[in-house]
Amino acid sequence: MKKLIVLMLITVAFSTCKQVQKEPEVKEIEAQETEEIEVTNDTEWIVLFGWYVVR
Amino acid sequence: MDGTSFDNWRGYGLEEMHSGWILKNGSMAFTPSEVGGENIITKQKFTNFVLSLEWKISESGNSGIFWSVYEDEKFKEAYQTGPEIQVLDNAKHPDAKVASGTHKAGSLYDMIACPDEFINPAGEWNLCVLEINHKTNQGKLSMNGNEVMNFPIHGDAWDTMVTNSKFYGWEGFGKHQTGHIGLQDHGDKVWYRNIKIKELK
Repeated sequence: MKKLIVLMLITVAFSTCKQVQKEPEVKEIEAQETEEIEVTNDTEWIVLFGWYVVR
Repeated sequence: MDGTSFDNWRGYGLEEMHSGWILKNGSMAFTPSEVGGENIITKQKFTNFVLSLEWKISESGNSGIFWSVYEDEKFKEAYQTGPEIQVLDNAKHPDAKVASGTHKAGSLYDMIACPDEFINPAGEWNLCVLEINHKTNQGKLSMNGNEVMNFPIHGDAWDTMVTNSKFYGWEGFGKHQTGHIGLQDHGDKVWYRNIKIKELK
């Protein structure tokens, strides 16, 4: 019985630990997506000389 | 829009381009002549803007990028009115060794020095992004993706910078908020490409 309780405690602790580790990964992905949106707005540039495609 | 012509440019004080500037491999290439003074400017004037361009300097070369250039018969050269971002071969041009580094590449000429580590050597392209905003009284310069300086562009703080420079007492220098973008003939080979500008509203 004691062994079973210890095994259950270890299982719960491991599961909680994995959930805590996952959270920062989600935050990083959100930050990258925001940056990309800001950089791609290129419509207001006037080309004075070069090969830029003006949309 | 434009990639093969000088349609947006002309010689300073002229209606046409100077012959020393030619189109080569998607860049505008300047080869000096004995005449000298072949500075060029945009046909359009700008006040608040972000200018982005790439430059490449020849060995021992010198050139520059001006803004707020005011054209008048009493000013024979663009540098008499327009502040300059220096274009230089830091390794071999003697200007790199004077004026506390304020004549080095990427510097606001004779006012604010740009650290060496943000400049690529002669023969390599350098990306220069200059923001001029008189509404916030702020000039910002980044070289190759690194912000290298932040400075006032009018008012008492700007006047103090001019007073402490070689431009002290120059009648028209840094006085006009609206003007042309200019590229300098300093007697050396230089290349510019991918020049674009965004007006700030």
